Amino acid sequence: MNGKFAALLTVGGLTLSVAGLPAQEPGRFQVTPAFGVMRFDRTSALSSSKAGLSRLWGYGSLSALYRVTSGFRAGLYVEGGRATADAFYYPLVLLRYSQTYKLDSLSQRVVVLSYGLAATYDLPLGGKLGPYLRAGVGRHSVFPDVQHTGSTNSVTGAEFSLGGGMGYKTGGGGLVRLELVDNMWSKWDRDRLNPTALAYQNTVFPEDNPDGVGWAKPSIIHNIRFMLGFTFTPSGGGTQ
Amino acid sequence: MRFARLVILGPLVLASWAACSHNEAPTAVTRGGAVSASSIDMLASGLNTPGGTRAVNKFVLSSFDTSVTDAFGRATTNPPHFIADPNGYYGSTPLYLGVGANVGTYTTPNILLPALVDADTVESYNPYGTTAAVTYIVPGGHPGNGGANSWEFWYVLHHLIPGQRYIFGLVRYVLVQRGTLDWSEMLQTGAITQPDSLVFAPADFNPAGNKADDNGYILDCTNPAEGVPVAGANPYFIAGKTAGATSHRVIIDHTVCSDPAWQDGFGGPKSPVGANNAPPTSSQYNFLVVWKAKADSTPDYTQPVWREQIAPVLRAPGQLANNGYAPIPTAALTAAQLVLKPGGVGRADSVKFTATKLMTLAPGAVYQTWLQISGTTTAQKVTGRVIRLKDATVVDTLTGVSEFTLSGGANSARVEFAFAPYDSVAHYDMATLTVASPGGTTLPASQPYWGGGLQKAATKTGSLSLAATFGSFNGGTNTLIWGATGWGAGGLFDNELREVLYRLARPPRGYEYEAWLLNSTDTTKKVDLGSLEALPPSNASLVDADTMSGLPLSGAEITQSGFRDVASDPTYYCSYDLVEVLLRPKVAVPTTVPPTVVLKGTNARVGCP
Repeated sequence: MNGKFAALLTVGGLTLSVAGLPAQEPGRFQVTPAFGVMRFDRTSALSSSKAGLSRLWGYGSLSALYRVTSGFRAGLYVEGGRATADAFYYPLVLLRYSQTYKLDSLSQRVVVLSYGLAATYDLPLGGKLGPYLRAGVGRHSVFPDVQHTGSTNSVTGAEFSLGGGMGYKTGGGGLVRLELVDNMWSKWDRDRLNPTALAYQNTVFPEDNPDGVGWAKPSIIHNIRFMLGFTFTPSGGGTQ
Repeated sequence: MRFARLVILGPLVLASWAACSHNEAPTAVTRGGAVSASSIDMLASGLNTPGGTRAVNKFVLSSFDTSVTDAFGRATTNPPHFIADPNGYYGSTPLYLGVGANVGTYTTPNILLPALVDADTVESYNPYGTTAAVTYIVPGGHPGNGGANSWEFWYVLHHLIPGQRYIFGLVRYVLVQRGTLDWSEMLQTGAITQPDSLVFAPADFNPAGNKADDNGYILDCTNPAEGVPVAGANPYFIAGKTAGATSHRVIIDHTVCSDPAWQDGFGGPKSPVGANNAPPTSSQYNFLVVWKAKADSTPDYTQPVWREQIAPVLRAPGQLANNGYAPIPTAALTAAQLVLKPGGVGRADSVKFTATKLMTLAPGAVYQTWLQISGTTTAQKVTGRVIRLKDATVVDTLTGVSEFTLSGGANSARVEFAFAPYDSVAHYDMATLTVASPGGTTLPASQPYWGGGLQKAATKTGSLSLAATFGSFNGGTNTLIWGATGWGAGGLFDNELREVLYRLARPPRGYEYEAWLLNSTDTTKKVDLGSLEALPPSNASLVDADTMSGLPLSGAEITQSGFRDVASDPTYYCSYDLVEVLLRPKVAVPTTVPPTVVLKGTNARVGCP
């Protein structure tokens, strides 16, 4: 198993441990596992291709938020999924065999993990439907394929998230959430996920390189996450 | 709680499984069924780089500046008389031969004071039947000497006074100058109006050494009879000898052991004689003198009969007299010789400017020759004679023209003109061959050939012939010399030829690079692939790379460029075994293959019939 991916599980376990402390503050913690899809920024190399349509990846998250006031909660979150660094954004692989050149395109599967602090604020509308706003700050880590890169290094940077959702109260204190969040990554450099070493990147036939090689690299990219989650209070009590 | 943990851990386990699986495989890029490209590597060739010469018949002397250090260019570690023995006694290793040449007899110069007595009769000669007069100073360690630590002094003088005793000695003289320094005056005029005097410095007179008869050729520094240096001696006596009653001559062949205090001079380390480009140290000497001896065997310093300058004369101990290098000259240099010396100031009398690897220009363009003052805007178009050449063969000659084109297969041209009329207008120092519009009267921007040195300034070296330079003269400001540089990589991918070129030199102003397909054995097979381009995505034309300022131009080079060609069928390229990048004037006749090869690659013609 990828050693760094084990960290994902570890962080998940820690989150559960935090969630497993309800006896100290009964009813004040909310734990929300959620599943959905992620559409990474078109320039990120993780979600878009020359086809023009965004590619959606399965994504999961887990958050544990502490009720600070009646409508305001803050806590930890961890999210993750798996994506592909598309070959459309990288120079072709150029191999020379004596008097001939051979060109190949190469993609790479990666694991994406983000984590940090999150806060939500419930908008006071009343009833079973409750809209809320969500914001967060944390880090993102993208783990390349060790067998491609020959390295266990990851690509890490800051993450800022902003979004909101709608919750539907169910019986027993539960809550079903539908959430749309923009996970913003700063100083993202897609070239760090290029699976091809510099010496083997095609510079001899530049016309053959995909157009995405020349695409812009904004300083902040926007990754849109859409998820469905189930919120519960581990202590079994408490109110929303 | 169990349900909650199941909800959380279940997906995580599934995710971990998914994270570890991968099955990506490279996807081959193909073109027209071809899965690989045949490589063509291009390397800098440097074949047929344009050049030429700037020649002048002579320089006309306008003045001579004796204040310039070594104005006559006579300072060398060894004096001119440090030569191989023409008699052959000492093999081919140089030694100091006072007569300086292969002459039967020799009379020492009598220019300085104290004047030599009997100088019109005393001379050196060779009593052994060979040709060169015997006046040897043989360095220690010389293979013909044989003494690793001994210097040998071997002199034969005749026409001396029978029974008169003579003393040989090494002296460190300083100068009393009267009027012009005798060395400078002699080299410029061939005569001396007021002779300078050689004297001992007041605190540097300490006679010592051997005044007895020479004790022969010993080469044994453990033998007390060997000549032994005396620290600080001036003069240092080598030996004495009395002229034969009937032979009227003296012969000395005396060895002197090296002194640890001696410094590098001529002939190697530990020399009693100072180097001819530095003042002798306190233990070294600059003249060898033979005096008449008094009755008590001491030299009569007012009656020298023989004097050789072997190192620079001094103004004071340790202070070299500029231009006073050995040996003292006995004749004047010609004006043509003087102007070429470091102190010479003058100008060219005429100019012959030859440019090679020229191309025939299209109508509307001509070659013009201009004179310029480097770094200024002062310039003047030249009218003269133009000899059009095909390699070294004259095609024809044009007279009284200020511009020309090529014809009759000519590929070079020589422009000849008198320089004085132009020098009277301004002191032009540079001749340039330009590419211009017919009848143009302003200095063209394209100045690809140039040759300087038309003015000979003091301290500068004057050269009658110089290689012309090719590149962008730019009036002498931001001048760029062009040379074939860079490399290329690429090849044939199905029906496409592509090359990426790296670090080509910026083409000379008015020139461009072109890619060509050629056949090494059939010159009729040639295809002009056009100018180079910037790399994708811009693919900008580099026709104007000579003046562009943005990327891919960076200073003096094109960092990256390339060319492409697409044929209807891959077999099209089977007719060409060469892929070359060539350099040409933008206004050259387009159908001609440019002569200058910048990059050259070979098409292996893989898969060709």
